[in-house]
Amino acid sequence: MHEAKIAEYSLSIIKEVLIEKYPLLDKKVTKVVFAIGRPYTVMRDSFEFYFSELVKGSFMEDAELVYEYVEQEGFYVSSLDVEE
Amino acid sequence: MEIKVLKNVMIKNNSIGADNRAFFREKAVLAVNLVSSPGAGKTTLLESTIDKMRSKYKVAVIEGDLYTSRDAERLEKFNIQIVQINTEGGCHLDARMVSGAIKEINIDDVDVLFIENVGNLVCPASFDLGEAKRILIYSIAEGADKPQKYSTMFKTADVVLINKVDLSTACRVDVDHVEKEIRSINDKALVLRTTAVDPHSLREWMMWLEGEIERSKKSKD
Ligand SMILES: Nc1nc2c(ncn2[C@@H]2O[C@H](COP(=O)(O)OP(=O)(O)O)[C@@H](O)[C@H]2O)c(=O)[nH]1
Ligand SMILES: [Mg+2]
Repeated sequence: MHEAKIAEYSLSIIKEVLIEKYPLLDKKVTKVVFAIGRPYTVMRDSFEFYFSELVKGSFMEDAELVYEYVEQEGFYVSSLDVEE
Repeated sequence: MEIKVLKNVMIKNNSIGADNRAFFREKAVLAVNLVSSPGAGKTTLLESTIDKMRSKYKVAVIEGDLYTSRDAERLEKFNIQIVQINTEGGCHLDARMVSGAIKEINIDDVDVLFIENVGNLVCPASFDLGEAKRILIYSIAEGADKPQKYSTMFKTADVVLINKVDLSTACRVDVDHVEKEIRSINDKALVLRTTAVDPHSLREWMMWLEGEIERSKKSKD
């Protein structure tokens, strides 16, 4: 169930980063890379379900979501691709 | 264009947890996070523990529960500070909820703060609340295989109490075997055996706890 909260946290981190570069949030995000770290308790499908709900109708609606598994602890937003 | 972010999402929780921890340390309060599956005996352990220690130490409790305040009601008889957190379906407490609850407690009047987490053997493992110690209550009735199955919870515990030892025969569970399974996952945790309904079984637990409270009080001077 905490996937919902992690999706929320992720979105707020992404917004913080974007607003710094594009204060108007007028760029479309085309790809987001997440890194799932140990202890791997975040379920990908469940996370994606909540995240997709949160970004419906937004500048991120069509972003491709990509996942990597890493050794460090935690759950990371690794990188974003933004349209030119 | 690619933007590198590389931010740990859990930092949102963990940074609040770190603030809580600093606050507890400054106030010389021992904060204890009680985790277990539903029904393993968290509230019962609190009842027996608080009854034994309240003449000596000032106790406060944060009660995490999905929807009800039934556990908090069980503790009202002790005349201690209790704050109820209802997670409204959420499967664990997080640091922000605890940070909110602390504001309702007169912390200068507290030596030890017990935080009863939501009954769940999975999610609470991932959420630091800022506690000094994490106590996992594991009921013998859950069998010997759960430490392996829910290993994250066992790995992150400072103390594991094997509870309901009085039921081992009825449940056909060998307590030594359970203890071995726990140690195979976490060899640093203190593992004790308890029967929370029987205060006499809590001697070692109480000794450990009082030692920690004294240590946290001293750290202030
Ligand atoms: N026989 C026995 N029953 C216990 C023990 N500890 C708790 N219980 C019972 O287990 C049930 C659930 O306990 P409770 O403290 O509410 O569990 P919690 O959900 O973890 O807070 C209650 O009926 C308790 O009386 C124990 O050591 N032995
Ligand atoms: Mg309870």
